[in-house]
Amino acid sequence: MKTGLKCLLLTILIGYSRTQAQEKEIKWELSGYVKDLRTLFFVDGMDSVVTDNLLHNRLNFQWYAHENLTARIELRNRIFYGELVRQIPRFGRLPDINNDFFDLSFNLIDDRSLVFNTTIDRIYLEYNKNNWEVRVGRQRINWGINLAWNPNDVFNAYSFFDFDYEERPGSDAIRIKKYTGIASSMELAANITDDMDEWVVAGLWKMNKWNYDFQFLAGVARQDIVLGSGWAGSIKDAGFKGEFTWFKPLNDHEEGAFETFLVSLSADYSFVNGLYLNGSFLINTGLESAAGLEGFNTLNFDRLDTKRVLPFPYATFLQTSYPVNPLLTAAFSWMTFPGEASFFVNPTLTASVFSNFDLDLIGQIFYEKKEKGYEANSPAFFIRIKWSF
Amino acid sequence: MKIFTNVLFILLSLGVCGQDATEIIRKADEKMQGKSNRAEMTMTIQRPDWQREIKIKSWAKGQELSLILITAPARDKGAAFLKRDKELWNWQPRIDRVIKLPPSMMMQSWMGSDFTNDDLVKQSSIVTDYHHQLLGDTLIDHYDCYKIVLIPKDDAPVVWGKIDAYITKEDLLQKLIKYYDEDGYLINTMILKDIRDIGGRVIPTRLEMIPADEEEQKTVIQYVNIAFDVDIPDQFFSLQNMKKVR
Repeated sequence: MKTGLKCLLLTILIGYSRTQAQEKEIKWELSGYVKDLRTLFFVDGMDSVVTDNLLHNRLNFQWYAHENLTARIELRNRIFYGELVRQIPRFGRLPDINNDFFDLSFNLIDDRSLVFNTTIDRIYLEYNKNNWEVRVGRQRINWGINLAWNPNDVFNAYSFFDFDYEERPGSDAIRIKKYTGIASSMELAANITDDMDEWVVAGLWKMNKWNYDFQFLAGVARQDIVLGSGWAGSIKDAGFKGEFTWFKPLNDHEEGAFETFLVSLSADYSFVNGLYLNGSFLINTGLESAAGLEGFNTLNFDRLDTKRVLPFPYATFLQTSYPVNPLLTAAFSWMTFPGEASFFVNPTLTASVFSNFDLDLIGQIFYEKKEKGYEANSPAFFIRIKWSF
Repeated sequence: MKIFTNVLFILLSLGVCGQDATEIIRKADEKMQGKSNRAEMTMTIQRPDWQREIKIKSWAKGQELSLILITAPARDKGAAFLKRDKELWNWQPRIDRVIKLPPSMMMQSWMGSDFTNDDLVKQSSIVTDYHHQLLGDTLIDHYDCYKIVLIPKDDAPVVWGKIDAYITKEDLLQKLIKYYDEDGYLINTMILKDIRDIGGRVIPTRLEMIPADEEEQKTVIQYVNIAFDVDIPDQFFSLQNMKKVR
């Protein structure tokens, strides 16, 4: 707890001194935001709405230590309060997650009605020289290409439903990258762990040809041999992207081990009036078809696995967004799951109230087929204000 | 003596009139772009009730290479756009990801402004993607200007049906550009103002883009500084540098 507080104070302090340094040669930078997220859950079988509040501050601190060396620390301070905190026993354990080698998550306050958690999700050194880039520490290794599903993202998987964490979690890892051209590179990355079951080591080769970005990956990820590829290019004026990865367990007899071929293709297009469309599908050959939404109960959202970002063998995704005016964007996402038994809708409105001050209205509603037709399953609505600095 | 001056005058006007319309456009374009350039500018999106400001640094080399970095507002700081020939990438530092943008994105509004991605990264060229024809001359804002009509070539990656460009006769500077759609309707008007010395050249330093159907709105690009014909290696325009550039 004390360590977290110290880190926080130190970061703020250093951030302030940056303003002192001003123009000359900027040696450090502080940026971030403060967000307030209000959630309304319409829980099934309950008369009243359950509310949840989250006050969230992110600090991104960069120190340009040397021409070739940059240090980066990013942390999120979150204060949870409201009915949900009181209703869920020991709520404090939920945000205090550590999936990595170093435990950098701290509950500074853990009361029955209020939880204050500080998590450092990036802390690394980056060395850059000529075409080489070496990063050591907690970092995000982002190999995904598509918007909704990323079979190539073998280091840190993410769920489309977790919209309030756009930075995504990091991994304690070492990554060595060599840029071999304008849009091509080779990299090797390994996470730091003392549990061999959690070990991920993989290489990625990126190249650019025929106006396409291609990538190929190979390695071992959490007891699976992984081989994959992805691309980003276009057909006529539409974007055409794809990712696929084959996961083959090192030991088929291990509990929970399964072989799978994960594929996601997507296409996107922008009309002159600003209307944007993105369509995508996901195939996961290793999963059995599950009816309805029960499958989600088998997922562990705190510890997502690339093989299981969705509990279904296939799914489709469609997103459309439209800038009503430069300050207001309306978007609608629609995800369908197998057998017409269930689907998910996600309407959002994003408004720029002032410069650096945004207001979002977000809905997340799962529908399930019941006797009388489709019924919403615990719909959630979110109001978010965000000030960036 | 009078006959001599008359003859001289006629010869001079013939010379200018005979100047190829394409050559005028090429020279006017070269004045604004140079062989390469590095600039800082402020873009202001203006509407009757509000305005938003975006600060930009940009680098460009020839027609093929362009890099744009947003330095303000805080929300978008660090985001960058890289164009190499026909490809366009967007770097989003907040999510640590390079996103390849579809070609259809070129004609999209850039950051909600009245300029398109294409206006900023200049994938299409007013020199090579159009046929040019000198239509006459006119006075714009006290400047004597050529009026040149630009009709897109068949295979050009452009959406405009026609462009009218007004170029000052004396210094060959772009003064007014009108963009029409394929049905001949006026869509956008760009007014180039504040002609003064910047970066060793006398050029317009304020560009106003005004949509035809929304008279009360416009987007203004004001050059803060610009340097021409600077030495920028091709490798500067890379995915690696897009993430690092400051």
